[in-house]
Amino acid sequence: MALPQTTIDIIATRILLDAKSALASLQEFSDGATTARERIDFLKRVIKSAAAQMGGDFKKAEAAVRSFAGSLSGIKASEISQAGRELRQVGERGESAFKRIFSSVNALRIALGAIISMLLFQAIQAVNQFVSKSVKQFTELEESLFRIGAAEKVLSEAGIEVSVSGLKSGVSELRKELKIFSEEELTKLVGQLSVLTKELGFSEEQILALAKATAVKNLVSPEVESLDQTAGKLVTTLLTNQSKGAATLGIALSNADIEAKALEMHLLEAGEAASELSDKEKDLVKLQIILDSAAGDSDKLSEFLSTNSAKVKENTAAWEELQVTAGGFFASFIPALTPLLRFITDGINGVKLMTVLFHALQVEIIAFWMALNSSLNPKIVLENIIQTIKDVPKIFDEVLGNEIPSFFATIPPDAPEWFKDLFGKYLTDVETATSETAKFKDELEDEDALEALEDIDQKIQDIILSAKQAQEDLDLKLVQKQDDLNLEYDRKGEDAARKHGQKLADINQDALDKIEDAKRKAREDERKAEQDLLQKLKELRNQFLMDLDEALHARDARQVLRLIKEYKNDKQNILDRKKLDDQQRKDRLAEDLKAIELERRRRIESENIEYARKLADLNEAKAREQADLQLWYQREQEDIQRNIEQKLQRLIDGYITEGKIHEENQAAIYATLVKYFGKDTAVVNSLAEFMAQRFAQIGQMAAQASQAVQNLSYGTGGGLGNSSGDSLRIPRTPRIRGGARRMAEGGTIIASRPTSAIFGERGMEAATFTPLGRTGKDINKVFGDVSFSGANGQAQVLLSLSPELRGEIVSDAMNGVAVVIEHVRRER
Amino acid sequence: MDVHKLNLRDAFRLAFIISKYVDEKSFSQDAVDFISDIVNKLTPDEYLQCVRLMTKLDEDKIRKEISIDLLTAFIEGLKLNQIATLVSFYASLGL
Repeated sequence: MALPQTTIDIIATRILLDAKSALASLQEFSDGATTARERIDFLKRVIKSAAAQMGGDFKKAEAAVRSFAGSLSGIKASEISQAGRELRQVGERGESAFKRIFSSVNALRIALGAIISMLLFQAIQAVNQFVSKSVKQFTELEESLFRIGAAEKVLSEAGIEVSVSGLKSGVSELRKELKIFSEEELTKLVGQLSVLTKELGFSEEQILALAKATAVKNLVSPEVESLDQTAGKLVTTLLTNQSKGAATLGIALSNADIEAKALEMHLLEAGEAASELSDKEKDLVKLQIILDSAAGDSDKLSEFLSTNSAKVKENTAAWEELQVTAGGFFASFIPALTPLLRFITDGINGVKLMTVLFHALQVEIIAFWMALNSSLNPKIVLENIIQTIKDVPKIFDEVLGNEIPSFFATIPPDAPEWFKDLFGKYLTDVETATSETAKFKDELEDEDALEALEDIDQKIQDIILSAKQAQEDLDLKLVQKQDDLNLEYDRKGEDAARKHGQKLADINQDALDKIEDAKRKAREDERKAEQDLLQKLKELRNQFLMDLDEALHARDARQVLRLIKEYKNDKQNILDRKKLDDQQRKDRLAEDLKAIELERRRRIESENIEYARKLADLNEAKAREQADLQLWYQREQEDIQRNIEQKLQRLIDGYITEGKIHEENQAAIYATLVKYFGKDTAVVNSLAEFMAQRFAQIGQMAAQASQAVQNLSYGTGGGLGNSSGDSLRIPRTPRIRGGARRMAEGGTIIASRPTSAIFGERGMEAATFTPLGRTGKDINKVFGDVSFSGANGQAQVLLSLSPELRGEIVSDAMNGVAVVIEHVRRER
Repeated sequence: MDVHKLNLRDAFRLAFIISKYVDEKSFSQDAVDFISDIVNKLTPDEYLQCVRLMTKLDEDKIRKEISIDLLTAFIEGLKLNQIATLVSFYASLGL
């Protein structure tokens, strides 16, 4: 959405103005700044000016000035660094904090058009200038005192008796004699002279006398020059043989003059030349010549002091001293001011409007003045100015009236006058509280703008409500989906655990079965082995018996013995074999059982790993789904946001089509509303509250006006409102702080929300309350429980008509109340 | 803020604007006076256009920069693009 051309021109104008100002300063620097001090001071001014645009960031400003100066001139980086350092040391935070208010650009400024107030602007400029000048004066005084202190140290080390207090009291004495110079100027002068003439070893009295002479010579000099310049001339004369500068001040320092004075001072004998004088003596002679010359100008001085220009200078000196005092005040005031300024700039309430207004004031007045001198159409700028000035007192009042008083109640009574003028209305402990804003209040009316604001308010309220509703629904859905997700994954977890348990049980059962099988097999094998053994023993015995029978039959004793032996051996072998088999069988069984146990454990371990993997997969899947849910939530919120923006856009487009809002407000209103309805939709609540509070009055007035206009169309007097029917003008009911309306002069209020009203404050009044859109049960009741006439919303009317008149019957003059004509009497 | 050497088309655009306000006498001034002379004569739109050409930033971004940075960019841009030579060349073409 492009910004209107007028707005761009204003900003471009400001940019160009700043560039011109910077270049002018640079030219001035190139021409005028010769000493290191002057160069540093100039650079400090440029840095401060740049810092003002950067919200008080001196570091950035220093860097910017370094680039700027380096691009065009021979200003040394070291000089810029020193200037920046001095600024930071002296502590310009208060000034920069103050200017921070003015440096933030807010689209609402553009939305309300070019908001300015000439008087407010001047007050703000005065504030700005006063603060910056005061701080400057104060810091320069500090520097001067520091210089005096440094000089005192050097002089004392050189054995010259001089003290800071002595110099300061000397300055005070000088001030009494020469009121046209401020204490700061004289302190600075004394400080300079002390340092510059330290080589000459002047005493305290001599330094002060020289300072007085410098001041006198400055006043009576035919040339217009600063005190610094006069001091420079005299010091040059003292330190060198150059006397041209002193000559312009009417001081004669030729050899002859020096010789004459030296003779008078008994430093030379008659006939001796000036060259006979030592350096020290020559310095003393020159000093005396200067002092005498200044003393000789006393007539001229008195004459000057009686002139108007002297009086002006005196006032200027007094003003400068006030500024120095104020600068000191601000130095302690700044810590208290900074939280206020932070409060002002950080609050998301109407106070922000005030800061925006102040900035807009500055920008627009510049544009207006520029417009008068450029190709810009001043009429458009002026129209913008006038258009939005109407809102200033209302907003200013509301903001300051509601937000500032408690904060400023702690300001001391010796606050500067500008402060009292600007905020005095809201201060509680200031004797003479005044306010410039009171001048605006009664002067201005703007029904059109108010109407437009009313409409916008209502529609914005609707948008806010629907946005809130959508947000609540979305949050509820999110909670439900979250719960469903948790439930699903809890179930999945339970299933996995159950399956895992089953598997473990199966594994164990399987192992038990295998053990059982193994044992059964072992028992089976053992039984078989037992049977084999018996069989084998039986066979062996049978064989033995048969063989024995044959051997006995053959009467072979040897054979018999052999057979018996063999039988015993074989039997033993079989038994041994059996034992061995039994042992092997046992071992085999044990191994089988071990293998089964190992198998079981391996399977259990595998199953545990599998289970853990499943759980991890479930967790991962859950996390993924939760992330998807958050993404969905975010997208839904963006949809709500987009919906709000579309509605706002349609709202604004609609207004533009109807011509209710000037095109140049469009972009800014949109930007402002989007900003307030922005990413952080939690702001919706606070904004709704804010808007409701600020525009409640306007909404009520609109509804009241609208209803009253409708009622006025019924000329028979059956409705409420102005029965004359001539005027559609609804007088504004003044509102007191707290929101209640004063109804002493009568009138009608239509309220769509709880509203306070005050009546009877100027005598007896009757008040009737009628619900619109429904029939209240207490309607027409005078004392709350006694019905005056009719019942259930009906009333009887007796109408007397002559034959020439015809009566019009109005069936419902008021919503919810039926007027019933029961009886009509015709008279002849 | 960076400044760029201009291509021919943009250089001619710059020269078109600046050449309206400089002449032979301007080039003999010192740098501060020369730049001041030009800046004092430029309209706000022309000034922003020159900065836009030399920094290649769009207008919205330029509006958000601080004035002294813009001025530095303007000066550096004129130096980088040798404005004196450029304007002389442009004038010699009779455009």
